[in-house]
Amino acid sequence: MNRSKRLLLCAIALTLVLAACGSSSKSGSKSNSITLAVNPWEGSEANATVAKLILEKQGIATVNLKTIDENAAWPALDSDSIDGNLEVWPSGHAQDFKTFVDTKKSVVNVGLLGPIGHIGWYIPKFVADAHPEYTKWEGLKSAAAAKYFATAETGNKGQFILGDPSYVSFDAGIIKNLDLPFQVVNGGSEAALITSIGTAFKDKTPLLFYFYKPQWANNKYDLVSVKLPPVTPACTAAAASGDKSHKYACDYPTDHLTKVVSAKLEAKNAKAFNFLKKMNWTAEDQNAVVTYVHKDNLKMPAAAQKWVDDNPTVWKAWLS
Amino acid sequence: MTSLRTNRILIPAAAIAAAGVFLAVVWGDPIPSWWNFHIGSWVDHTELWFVLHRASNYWLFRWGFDPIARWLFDLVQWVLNFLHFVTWPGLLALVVVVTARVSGVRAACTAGIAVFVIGGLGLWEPAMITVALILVSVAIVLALAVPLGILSFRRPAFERRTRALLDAMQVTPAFCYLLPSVVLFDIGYPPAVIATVIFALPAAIRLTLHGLRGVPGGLVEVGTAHGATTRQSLWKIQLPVARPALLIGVNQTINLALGIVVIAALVGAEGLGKEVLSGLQSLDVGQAFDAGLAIVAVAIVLDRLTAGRPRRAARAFRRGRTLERARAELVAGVGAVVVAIVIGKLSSSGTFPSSINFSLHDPVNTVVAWCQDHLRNGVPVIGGTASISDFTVIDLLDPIRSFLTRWEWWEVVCGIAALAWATAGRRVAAICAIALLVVAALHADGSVSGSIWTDTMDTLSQVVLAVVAAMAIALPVGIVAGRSDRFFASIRPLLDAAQVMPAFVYLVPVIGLFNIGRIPGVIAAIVYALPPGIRLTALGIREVPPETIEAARSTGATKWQILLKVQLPLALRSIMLGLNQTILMVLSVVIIAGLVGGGALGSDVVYGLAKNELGLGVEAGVALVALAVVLDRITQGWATGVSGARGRRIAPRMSRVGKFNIPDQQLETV
Repeated sequence: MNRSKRLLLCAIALTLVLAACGSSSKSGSKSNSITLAVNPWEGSEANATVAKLILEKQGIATVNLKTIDENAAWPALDSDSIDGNLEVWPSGHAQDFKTFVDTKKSVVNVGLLGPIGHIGWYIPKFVADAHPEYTKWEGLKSAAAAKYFATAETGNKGQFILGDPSYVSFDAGIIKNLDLPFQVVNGGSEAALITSIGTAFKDKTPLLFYFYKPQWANNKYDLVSVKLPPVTPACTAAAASGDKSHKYACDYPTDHLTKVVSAKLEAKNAKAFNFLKKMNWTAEDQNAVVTYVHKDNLKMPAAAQKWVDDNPTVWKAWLS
Repeated sequence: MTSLRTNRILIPAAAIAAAGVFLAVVWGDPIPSWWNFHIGSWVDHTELWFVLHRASNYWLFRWGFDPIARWLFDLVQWVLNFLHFVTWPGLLALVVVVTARVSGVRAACTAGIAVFVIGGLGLWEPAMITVALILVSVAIVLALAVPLGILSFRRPAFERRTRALLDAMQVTPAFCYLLPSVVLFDIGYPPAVIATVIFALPAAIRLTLHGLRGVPGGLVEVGTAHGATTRQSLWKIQLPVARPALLIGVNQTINLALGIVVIAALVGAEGLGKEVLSGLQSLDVGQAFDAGLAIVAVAIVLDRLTAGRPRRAARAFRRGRTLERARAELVAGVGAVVVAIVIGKLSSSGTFPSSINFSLHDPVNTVVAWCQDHLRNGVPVIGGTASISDFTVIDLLDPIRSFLTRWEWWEVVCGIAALAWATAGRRVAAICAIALLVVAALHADGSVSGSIWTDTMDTLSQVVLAVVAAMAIALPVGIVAGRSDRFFASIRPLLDAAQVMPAFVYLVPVIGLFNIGRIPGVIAAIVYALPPGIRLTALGIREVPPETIEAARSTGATKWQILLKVQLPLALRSIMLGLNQTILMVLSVVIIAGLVGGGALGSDVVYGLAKNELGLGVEAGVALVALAVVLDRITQGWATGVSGARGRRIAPRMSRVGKFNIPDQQLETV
């Protein structure tokens, strides 16, 4: 008796659960709502938040922002769970462009965002002032340079710190082919890298590292880039293959930040598709939003709102 | 007698020497390129196949993965809707009432305060998402773990065959299967739930099995004698008696699930993990700390809700709580919850009032800044954290690493097999040798040092240092805690927090204090691995029978003599298990170390997944599992050997519950 009662209860509970499941459907299927990816860095959040504000204000779409890893965003675009990602650094995603944009055609490249990313080697300003020779790669060849940048981790070689491993890196090749007495230390994450930069500035200790613009830390710390040899066709070829064999020996190619959207977006919400296609702003614009966050202590939506209020001429062009 | 002993040494030595000669002569140096399982490229091809076929019209997705993903999403959303429906006063009342019923009034107070803290940190919304994710994951884990545990209990062969799989599920970094599950199950809640289930399932299965094994055979016998069917004795005898172990299973599942919260944020699952991540992006330690604190509070609430103090509650019930009184309490409880929900609905749409705010954001940031300004350099005598960091790298880590990498690969295989044979027997030696040969067969491109083998040795050197340091702290603290109940009670919340607080939160300040590189990773590993070491040491000391100590005292032993000659030797088995757990915990932090410059296998996993080179990530994950198997089996062997020498009667009976080896006595007291 007791047992059968229990079974009955289980059955009822199960039915309830199933009913609850059956009734609701996946979010985002409403044609007026779209989802934009926010990759885990502030520039990406600034793009998406500004797009959200304008799209919603103009009544084009309600926008969900989804924080997601930049690589996880690709399968999500493919399956239409995310409608757009507004800041892709192409150098790190050659394979994804090949798979999803060229082969499968489930993701569409809708052109450039505007800012040009530059990855490179950087040193703090106070190091450049004290040792101007270290602003060129030839200056780093000496044993003195190795000793100057050496740490416990690297022993008698100079230390070169790398940040987030998902960002494109040819540093092992550059060091090997230019015959520099340096060793790469994997910082492992952007947070780890920027913390080290902060410590270097506080202690006035030398540091040579991988960095990039646009990035908010450029506003906080005075960084000087190290001149590497200009890009050659051989390097471009090596980069295209991912440079697993470490043949690369030049400066980094410039990254034209690119927007991609799901192939289904145009049918779902043509106005939003056109808006995202036309959206284009400068590195200064993006930086302004991020600076509001850091210098004026605003939250991102408020910072984005401030930029939208101040720069109507820029974004009105994205609507036409 | 002597000849027998000689044989025992000679035969293994000869066998291993022969194997070494064979490996060296036939395979030579370096590891031959044909000894390659091609796991990496196989994984890459499979992934590409799935990516290309991933469309809703393909049958595998249409009838397989998509419905599962949708079902998981709806389930989480349903729980979330429920949490929103009851509003925060309702939830507070619900938690307090249920906890009071299950675990007593004191626990209810703690849980109530924890709920309040979540709101006061201003993280109510993300916390609800995390709670919904955890509840769904835990429910699924239990729905799978209990039947599987029963099956393993009834069919030892099944248990034996799945053991290695469960080990692998536990040690493989969640990073390894998170991105693939995005390909299969899309983003958001579903992959987060799947990853949590994979990670937490083994412990739950093992605790179920452990509970069932702990049921005295006599009880079942009595049932059978009275004509109970197999099913009846399962439902009416075995499962009820095993309840405490099952409850611990629930508890551990929750703790493990909370460990994945931060990683789940990477695939768009939001919740508290996202708050931690976004705090770190802008190096706002205060924000990350608040979110970490909220995670700890969620853990406390769920712990008090589920762990209960079943025995005490039952005792209280027996001690004169009448049926009428129980009914009245039930009515009062339900009434309180309903009233609270109504209040929540009427006032301010149920969001937590922002006027109540005890965020620790600013004080934490001040403290962190002060430490970086004052502790890094210029501390008298020791010089500061920067010089400690350098000393550790140059004088400890580098020598261990160069010691390990100096040997040829076959020398390492034979040496470790010999060590295993000497301490744990032939079987373990064979397992260790096979595990290391698997590592030798990994050749994925792009690893940090260019070879997975060298990276494995590098990781091993870091693991060794972290384990030694963790045990050096855990032993004295554990001894004191074992001798003083008050001290143990006072550090318990800290131990809990050390396990649940995401390592990311304290890693950024650690990088600021020490130099980037291997040290921050080692420190994170020590913090994370301390609790089991301390707990099991304390437990071993406590379990020495008072009569034994009394006997020692009456023969005139001093306090130190009692400690060194009686308590420590008798606690040795428990301490060895503490060592074993410490090692496994340290291994599970290797990935996080990879995120702060730890290099080696951790970097390989992070890099492989970050660059979408799944093959490299998976091969590094396999190497990590192999390393875990080797270290686990050898230390387990030691523990068994110790107990064999000291006599089984005194040593606590232990059961292997995956990461959590739990002595039987503890099951009753926890």
